[in-house]
Amino acid sequence: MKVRLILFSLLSFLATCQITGQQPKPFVKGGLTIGLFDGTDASNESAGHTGLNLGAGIQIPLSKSHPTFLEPALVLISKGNVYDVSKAGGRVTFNLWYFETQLDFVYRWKIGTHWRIPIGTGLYGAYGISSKVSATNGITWFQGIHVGKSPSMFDDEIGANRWDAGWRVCTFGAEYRQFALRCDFEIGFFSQFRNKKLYTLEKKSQGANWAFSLNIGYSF
Amino acid sequence: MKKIYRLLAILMFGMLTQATTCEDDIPKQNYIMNEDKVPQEPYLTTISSDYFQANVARHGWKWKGSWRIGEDGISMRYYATNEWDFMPNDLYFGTDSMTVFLYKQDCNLRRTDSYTYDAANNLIKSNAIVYMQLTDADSLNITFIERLGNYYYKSSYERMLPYEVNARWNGSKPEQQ
Repeated sequence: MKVRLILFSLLSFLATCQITGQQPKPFVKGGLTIGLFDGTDASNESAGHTGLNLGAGIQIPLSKSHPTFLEPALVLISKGNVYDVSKAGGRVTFNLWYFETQLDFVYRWKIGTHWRIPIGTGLYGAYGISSKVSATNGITWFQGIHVGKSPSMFDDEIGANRWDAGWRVCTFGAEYRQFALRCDFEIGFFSQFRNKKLYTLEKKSQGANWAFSLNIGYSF
Repeated sequence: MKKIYRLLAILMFGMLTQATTCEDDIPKQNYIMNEDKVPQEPYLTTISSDYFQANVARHGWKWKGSWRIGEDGISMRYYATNEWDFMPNDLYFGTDSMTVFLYKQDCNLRRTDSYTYDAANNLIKSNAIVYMQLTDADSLNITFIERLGNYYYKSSYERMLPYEVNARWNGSKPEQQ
């Protein structure tokens, strides 16, 4: 059933391209991502984790008369969180790398001849491929996690989930000819953690990924 | 009339349950038992040596209360006053030596020895004590997992004023004498 749905969706997109008569445009993008976990109930302040993102996608025009596009993309993205441990005078960083598929619905306002303002929303699904835990100033324990051993975040000690999905709340920016500057904001649908080390999980969204990305892109 | 008696019975039962739930109101916690069956703080966070020296050392600490930890790692009984089977201590930490003020054989005694603070595991290592792991600390309160007698306890202490430390020191004699 799922395979049929995926195939149907793909065929629909291709058919849409045929109807509009416009060619899809591939693009590449990359930039910085500031990640956070939703809700901090650890007794330590948290700050955003700065990571990178790099990916490619395709702009599929949906209409001849309106500049609306469907933009699926595949992105390698780094998310996570940083905690200040005041009683140890240092910081603990949780870094997660995901392969993320993004699907945006974008409207492009044309301003003048070469400028466009894209604005859109969408969904994402991601799979965690790598993680790193690091600590400064000799911190060996954080919330019962032996960070001194640099454990994998996907192991039971920390209990991060490999799968993630969420809402790309908004994506907007500015485009000049083929160059683009874009801002994206994502919120995960559910917590990334299956145990209560970092979050009490009183709310299901505690520990969900939040990410703000600033990218530059080029479309071909 | 029957309704009034029923109401009174419910109220009395409610009062009775309230009187016996004092200990139940104290939050219970599961501790992780290591291979030596020593309970470990499940949310342990490193407290650095610098922080220990700045906030804990050079101060006396007065016992406030303890939860006995069962062999299954679940905190059990709560002690807020000395009882016949539980004799807590007051503490003083210097920069490199610590003093345990204890009551033994009807005497106020003190035991002083050097100590080291192992920041990798928040452990205080000294011949003056059996086992002590710092689980939380600020300038006014500290909590430990410590061994007293045959059991492990989660104990909380509050800072003593200088005159209290002097009074404990002058009112006790060294344990060896």
